[in-house]
Amino acid sequence: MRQLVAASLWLAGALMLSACAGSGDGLDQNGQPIGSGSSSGGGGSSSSSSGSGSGSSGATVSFQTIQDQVFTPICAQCHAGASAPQGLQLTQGAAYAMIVGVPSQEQPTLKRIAPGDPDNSYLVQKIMGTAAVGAQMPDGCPVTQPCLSTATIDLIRQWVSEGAPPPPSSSNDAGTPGEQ
Amino acid sequence: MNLRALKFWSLCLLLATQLLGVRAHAEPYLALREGLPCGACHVNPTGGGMRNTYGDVYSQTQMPQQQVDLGGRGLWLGNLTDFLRIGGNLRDDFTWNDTPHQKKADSFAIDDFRIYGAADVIQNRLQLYVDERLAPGGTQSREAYGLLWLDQHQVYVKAGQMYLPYGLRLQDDEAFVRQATGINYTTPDNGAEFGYQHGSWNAQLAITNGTAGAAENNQGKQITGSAVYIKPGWRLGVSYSDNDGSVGKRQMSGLFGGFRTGPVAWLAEVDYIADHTVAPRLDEYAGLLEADWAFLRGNNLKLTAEYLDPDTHIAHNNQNRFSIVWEYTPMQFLQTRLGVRKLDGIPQNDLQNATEGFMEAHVFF
Repeated sequence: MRQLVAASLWLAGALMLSACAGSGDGLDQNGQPIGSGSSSGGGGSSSSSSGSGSGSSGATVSFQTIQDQVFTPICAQCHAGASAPQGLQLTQGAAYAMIVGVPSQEQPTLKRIAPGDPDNSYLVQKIMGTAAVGAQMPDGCPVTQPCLSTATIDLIRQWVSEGAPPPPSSSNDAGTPGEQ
Repeated sequence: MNLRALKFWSLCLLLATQLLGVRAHAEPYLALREGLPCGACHVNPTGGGMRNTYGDVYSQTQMPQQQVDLGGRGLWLGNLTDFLRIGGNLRDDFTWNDTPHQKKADSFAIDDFRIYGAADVIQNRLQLYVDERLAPGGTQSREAYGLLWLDQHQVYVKAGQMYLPYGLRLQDDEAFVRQATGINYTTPDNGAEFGYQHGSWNAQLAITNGTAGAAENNQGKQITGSAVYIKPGWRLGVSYSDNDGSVGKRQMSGLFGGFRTGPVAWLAEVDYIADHTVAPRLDEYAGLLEADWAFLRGNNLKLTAEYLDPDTHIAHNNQNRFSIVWEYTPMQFLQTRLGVRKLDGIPQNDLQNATEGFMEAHVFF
């Protein structure tokens, strides 16, 4: 009898949860209200972040595109808040100041992003799986989630090669790096 | 060693564990199923990593469907010498991923390969412990600490790098309750931990940098605590964490527990996160329901339903994650896992609607 009650409760809970998935009404691909300024608007679906991606096409890559297509939907699932792994926050508003010209925690001799030098940028090494320390990012890829596509990695490499320019309104992202 | 002898020694170890108050955290559903105070299986009092003597015996005698005759070698208890023991885990996976609007992908990969070492510098009193991740990627220390037991194993002090005591120590780091709280196997931190274990109570308080293992850059610290009341058929616990960084606070509180009905263990956790480190303030809820059914010896069917509200100030953005995993332990030291996870989020985000499947070989000692 207890078994039946427990199973019923569990099933009821699971059904309640399944009814709670967001409809996404009025939101962009990153779950932010449309027009809230969090999206570059032209980034397309977040599916490109780990799948087919929008590879380097010759056009300049903006930091906001990377934020919208890679950092926010994928990396910031873990790299957020005060306890972000390795102290690295990749959330909107914090990411740029935490990566460009900032020494890596795992490999302090390397900058997370060395403008103009993707091969010696630790973040690039981490997403390519060539870093000397730790696992390839996103963590768990390809086991628990897909690794970034070659096209997406190329996009980031291109942005780094172009000098890792900051977002246009640099007040958010180029501010004081978020500590902890 | 015949089966009767193994059962006898298992019972002895179980009784000794209970009487001496030696505790550790097993996989949460196993601890709940056995009615143990989340202990008995791991060297680390807060769980995860190396199994202790009871954990080794349990995993070789109680978990497998069949015991392979080791030819008189006896049970593996991890001891290299009187004061030095080792252990290890390897999880190798074949996974496939189906994300809307993307090419399907599948691959073989090492999910996790770890070795553990513990030195009982002073037996039952002072211990050095290391949990080293060898793969994937380069070597990384997960835990490395010294631990001092006091007051007949009722109180301990731990210093070094450690996993933080918060909520259910699930093996799945991607579970919403572990990912949203940011407290999981990928985010050990440096600091000190104080533990108290007596009767049905088990509590820990950790003071750490709050940097998830990164270097500290201010005077703010993270205070993380957990207390759980454990009875043979059920348990109930609370967790709290306050990380005071220079850019603001991140506070979390959680309720977790479970109960057992026959061969099924039922677990649940709910967490509330208030993050002041981002502007505007972010409020999140994460929840987990888990059922583990031991339908045959050596077999466990795990069902989970998860919920995440990543920002309570925004409507229609909730996410779900459902899993069904069959865990089969045919013999000692080997477990296979077959599972499917379905994510269910906002339709415009393909990654939130992916379906993942995996087959895993888990070898451990």
